Amino acid sequence: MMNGGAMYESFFSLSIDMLCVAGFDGFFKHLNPAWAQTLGFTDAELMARPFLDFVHPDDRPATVDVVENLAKGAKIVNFRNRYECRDGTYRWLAWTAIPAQPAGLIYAVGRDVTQEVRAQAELKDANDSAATRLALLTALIDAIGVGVILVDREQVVAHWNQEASRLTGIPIEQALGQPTRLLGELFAPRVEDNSGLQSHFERVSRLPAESFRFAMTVLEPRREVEVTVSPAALTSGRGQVGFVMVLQDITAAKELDRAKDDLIATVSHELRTPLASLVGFTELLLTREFSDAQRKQYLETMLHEGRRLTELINDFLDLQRMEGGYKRLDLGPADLRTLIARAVTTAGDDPRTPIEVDLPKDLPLVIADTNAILQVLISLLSNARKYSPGGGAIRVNAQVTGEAVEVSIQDHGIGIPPEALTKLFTKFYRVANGDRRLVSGTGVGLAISRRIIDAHGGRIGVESGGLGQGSRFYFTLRTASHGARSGDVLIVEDDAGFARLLEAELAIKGLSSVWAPDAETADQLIGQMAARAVILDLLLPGASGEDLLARLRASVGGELPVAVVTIKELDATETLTLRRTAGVVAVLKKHSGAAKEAVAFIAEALTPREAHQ
Amino acid sequence: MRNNSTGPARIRRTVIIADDEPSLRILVHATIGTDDYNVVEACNGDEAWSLIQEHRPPLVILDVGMPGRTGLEILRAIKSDANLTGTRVILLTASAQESDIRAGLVAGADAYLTKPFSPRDLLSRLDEALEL
Repeated sequence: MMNGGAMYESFFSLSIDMLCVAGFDGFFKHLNPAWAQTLGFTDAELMARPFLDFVHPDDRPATVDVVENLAKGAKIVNFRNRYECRDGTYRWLAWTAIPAQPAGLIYAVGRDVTQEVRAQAELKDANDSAATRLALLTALIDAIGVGVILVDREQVVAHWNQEASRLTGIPIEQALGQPTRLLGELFAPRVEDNSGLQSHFERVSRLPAESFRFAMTVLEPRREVEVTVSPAALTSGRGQVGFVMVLQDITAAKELDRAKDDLIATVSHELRTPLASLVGFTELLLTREFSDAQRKQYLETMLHEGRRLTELINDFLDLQRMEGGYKRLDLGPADLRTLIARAVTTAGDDPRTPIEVDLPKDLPLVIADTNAILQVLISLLSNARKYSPGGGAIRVNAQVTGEAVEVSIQDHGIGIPPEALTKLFTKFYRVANGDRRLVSGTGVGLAISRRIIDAHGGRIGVESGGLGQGSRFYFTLRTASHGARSGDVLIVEDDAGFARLLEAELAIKGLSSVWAPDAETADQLIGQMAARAVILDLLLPGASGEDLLARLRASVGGELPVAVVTIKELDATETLTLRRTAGVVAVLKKHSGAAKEAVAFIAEALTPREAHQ
Repeated sequence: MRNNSTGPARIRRTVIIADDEPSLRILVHATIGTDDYNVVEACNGDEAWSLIQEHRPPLVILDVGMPGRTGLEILRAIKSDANLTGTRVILLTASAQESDIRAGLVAGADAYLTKPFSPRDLLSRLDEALEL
């Protein structure tokens, strides 16, 4: 028979839990073999140092607290801390301990719970990442620009995103939790022609294993919605967990389709009509005899229709350009007086519809892309003429209103019915009226004009007292600011890209600039701004830079420094002549570095002048 | 423009051409406006319909895409009017769309021509329609 001490010792050694007796002095007194097995240290090693040394640094404060509580007589259950192993790793131990006073000892049972702690941590990580993924996916589903409806395995709506709600008009709260067999009823009152819808939703409620799509027209506001139903399967491919319905707003796409069809129909119709005259009369004239008067009438009709075809093709090309967008305007100060004069010249003379221009004397420069505004003016003048079959003067006026100039073109033509006024600037819109149909056209011109004026930040509009009352078309353009009119350097350059380059180079030298895209604007600007220097391109639209230079000399004198930059091939004599012209500080061939050079010459020319003053 | 001049002793048959394009009316007029036919022009659907009722012509040439009543609408009105059983109809269309042509033939058009057309073809359709 073993005595009590031996029996106690046997049990102590048998336990697979870590049993120990420790002292409140901080040292182990007695350890069972489980310690060496678990941590790898010998009993001697463990007892040589305070036990706190083996505790993970992070867990030491809590461990100290526990020991203090034990000292106060408390019993400790399931306290966890990490103990160091011989290999440098740590193991999680769960402790139950009681104090033994007054001996000053602690009896403690520790159990290695490392596996359990790790498993829990992994589970928590997994939960966290699943929750994160779910949150991300939900955010994605809600942020995506299409309607998404998720239906779970139980055939119940599990998710209904904002867009689905917007597209269907069915609020999220009303949809969530609904069984799919009731979806059809939910949709029916909001969908046009819901007869086919029921069968689609019946198919949906049978938990479809294959994807399919259908379209519906949702009412209030009316839109075309395409629904794609796709089964949702587990990644393994086995087991369907529900399905997804994606709702796409295809209203815009449908409208685009319709617009394209309309365009094709219009092009086909508009081209065939003048062709019918050309082909028909040619055949008649080739095969039959007619009187001189008849022949003349038929030939005139053919000429008219031929011109109409040309105009149609130009309109379609303009339309093409418009679709490409007038996004890049080359804006600069422009002289409206010149632009109007050019448009009137283009429109030509017609004694039945004379064009009368009446502009205020002090018309300021406007900010404009000269080519685009010219196109608007020509289009408006041509309309005024076309819709004045009975003749009558066409009056062009301009007036300054605040920061803008309003240009108006008034005719005495057939006028516009009130219901057409708002639609007039829409592509292909033509007033359906017998008289108007006498006038050729595709209804593109005004749409293009509006695009151009919009891009300038201006307004375009029309007023008419009704049919027979004539029409007044008007548009506004911002006036060039006074700052822009009093720049240091006048850039006369039709190439907008190079003009911008010069502007940038001048800005680096601290010089402001004003850009004139043509000689007429330059003439205006010279009169208005106190330019201190000029950078001049010799090749300008419809005018010669040399002439402009001569006018400059005449009006401002020889003081003004001028840098000539041109792509024009100049021979030695021409270059010399230019160089000898009073004020010319440089004659440069236009290349990528020319902007910098020209600006350097100008800056140099301006510096001593300032020094003298 | 209406041509009301009475010809010589022979009976001239009235043909109504309805098209909103003046050049097309001139062309049709030039093609068939001989001593045999009295060509009456209409520049929209409504004018065409009142002229048809006035003249009860043996032949009407209708543009499909007219303002007011379209050519197809007038064609249907002619076919359902007991007083106009003798009126033959040729349709002119600027769109060569199958659907337009089918609709025209279903509505009872005797012939149709797609613009541009040959005046000779117009004359032969006219002869066929009037069974000359």
